[in-house]
Amino acid sequence: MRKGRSSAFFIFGVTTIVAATSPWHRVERGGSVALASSQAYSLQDLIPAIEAALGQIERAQRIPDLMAAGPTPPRNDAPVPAIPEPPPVRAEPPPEAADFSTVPPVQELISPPSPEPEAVATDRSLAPERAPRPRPRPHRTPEPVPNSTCSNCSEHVRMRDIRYMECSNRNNYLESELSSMRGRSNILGDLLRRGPRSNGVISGACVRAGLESVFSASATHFASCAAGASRPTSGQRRPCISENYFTLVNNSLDLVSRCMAPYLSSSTSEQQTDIRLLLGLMAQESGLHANARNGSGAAGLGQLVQDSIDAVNRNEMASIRSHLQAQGGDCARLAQDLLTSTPPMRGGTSHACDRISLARGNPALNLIYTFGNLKISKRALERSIFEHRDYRSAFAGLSAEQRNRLRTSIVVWSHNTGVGGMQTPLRALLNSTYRGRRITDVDRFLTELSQAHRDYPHSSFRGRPAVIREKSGYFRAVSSRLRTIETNAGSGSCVNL
Amino acid sequence: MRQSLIIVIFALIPLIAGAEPIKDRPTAAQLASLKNELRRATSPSEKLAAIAKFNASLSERLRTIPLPETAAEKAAFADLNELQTAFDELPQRNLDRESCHESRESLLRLKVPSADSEGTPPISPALQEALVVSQMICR
Repeated sequence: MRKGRSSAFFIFGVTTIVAATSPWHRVERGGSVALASSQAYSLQDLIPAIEAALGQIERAQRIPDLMAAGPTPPRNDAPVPAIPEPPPVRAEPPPEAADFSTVPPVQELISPPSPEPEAVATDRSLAPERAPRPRPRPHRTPEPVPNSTCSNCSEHVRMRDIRYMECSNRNNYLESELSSMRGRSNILGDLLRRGPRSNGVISGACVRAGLESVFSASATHFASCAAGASRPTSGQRRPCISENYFTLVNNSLDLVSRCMAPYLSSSTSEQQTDIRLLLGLMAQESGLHANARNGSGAAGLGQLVQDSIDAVNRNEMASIRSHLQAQGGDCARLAQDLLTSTPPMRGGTSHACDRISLARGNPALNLIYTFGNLKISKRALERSIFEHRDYRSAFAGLSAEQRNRLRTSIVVWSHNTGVGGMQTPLRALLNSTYRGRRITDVDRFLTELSQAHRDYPHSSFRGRPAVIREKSGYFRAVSSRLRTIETNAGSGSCVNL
Repeated sequence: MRQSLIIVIFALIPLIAGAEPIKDRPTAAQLASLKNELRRATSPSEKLAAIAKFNASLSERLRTIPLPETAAEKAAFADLNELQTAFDELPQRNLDRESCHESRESLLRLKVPSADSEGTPPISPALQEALVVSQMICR
């Protein structure tokens, strides 16, 4: 960019000198300005070319501003954007076994994601800031290593140029912990030593895009935990997106999603929808950052609160452990290292490090609990709504795929509202607008459900308009976030199952 | 003077006792009737029958009540739906320890997330009613 500016100034300087010594005049023509000359000079023929060059340089300089502006965020009263049908899944090799023992993959070029400055203030979710204009960052490309298992390398092509940040003393507070984790013999150490996994369940390009989709580099909604501490230090900047940090986040998301997706749903197509919307949820809640923390105490990847943690510990943890152990390989190691040999996660501000500390197992541990919480919500909503004698007929007109998409959308939405907070407006909608009628359009129903959150809010939310607005708009925000990530990652679905 | 005092006391009783949680009069009457039946019931099957009868009447009410138009009607309609949500979590088949425990866990999960993760989430009036009835049948 500096070279471009220097060239522009040089050309401009030359032009100025030439213009000052010649009887040229400016002609305004239809809003544009053209230079005309009254005498024939040898440089006259060059002027249009110089103008064109200046115009191109100016346009090129404006591109980062246009990219930083990002897509126009939807208005609050806009219909819930349709969850776009995911683009056809790239023909990927069959999912590898959960055993993570492949050689580090070949990494190839992609263009860097643009920061998404969309600001959606929420009670529980963190309030994102507008991302600054991106500066060119030096990138380090690891030495390519042959990967004999890669039969379709399109993901590798997109992973090669994952751009890592140069860390400063303001944002490198996780680096020493990450370095020491690499030397450990547990599953997290392994995940770090393997390098960033390409061809994962969640596209690495989407993870990279997600890490910059919510918070700017100067945002301070983050916390750090000293060794052995249970209460974190707040007000930290967004962590440096170094190779180590990206590797931990990327590989944790991949491994836990592979291992826990079958816990949530049985079929591959359901799991694909689950993981995709869960990615949108996590991006909306925390920007995919392990140590995000908001003022009300919600913390970590899924912004878990005490009630959610307690419910998982009480009702799901034994089943989760059994499920992971039964999967074997790295899934079993997750259970052993994060759920068996360490005490359960605790809620509350004084134990927030349980939810964000890397040494404690995050972001993988936080993601396991998020899956567990979704399972609780799914089970409750299946029984109370989708299979309820009074309501099941409303869903009878939907195909299996539509029904799954609607159900997963509502379950993901309930991560924010709570099961109770979802059931009141949902039942009210089914008992009013859909009294005696069937649902035929999933996206329209979700839009109507957003309105129902405003018309029939849970009694605990009544009289709190900001809370009602947040609950009402949550799923729209998640959908929008997911679309932004998929666009910034180079389009295509983020999920490869 | 005494008359004025009596009027004031009667006017204050609803405030002292807590706001009426169920604004729909037929449903409020059904709920009062349910509690009386549960007090008189002598076996688990009688209690379960009373719960089933109430749930059926609540479903019927939700199917037939005029659709709400004003803000007050919408709030009352929301309360009815909230009541159905809570009472659906009561034991349906038996009142053994496991069923009662599961029912109580399900009811507690209906608490909405607190704005402050350290704070106690509020319990809605409908949930409170269900917890009271749960206590009556699961003693």
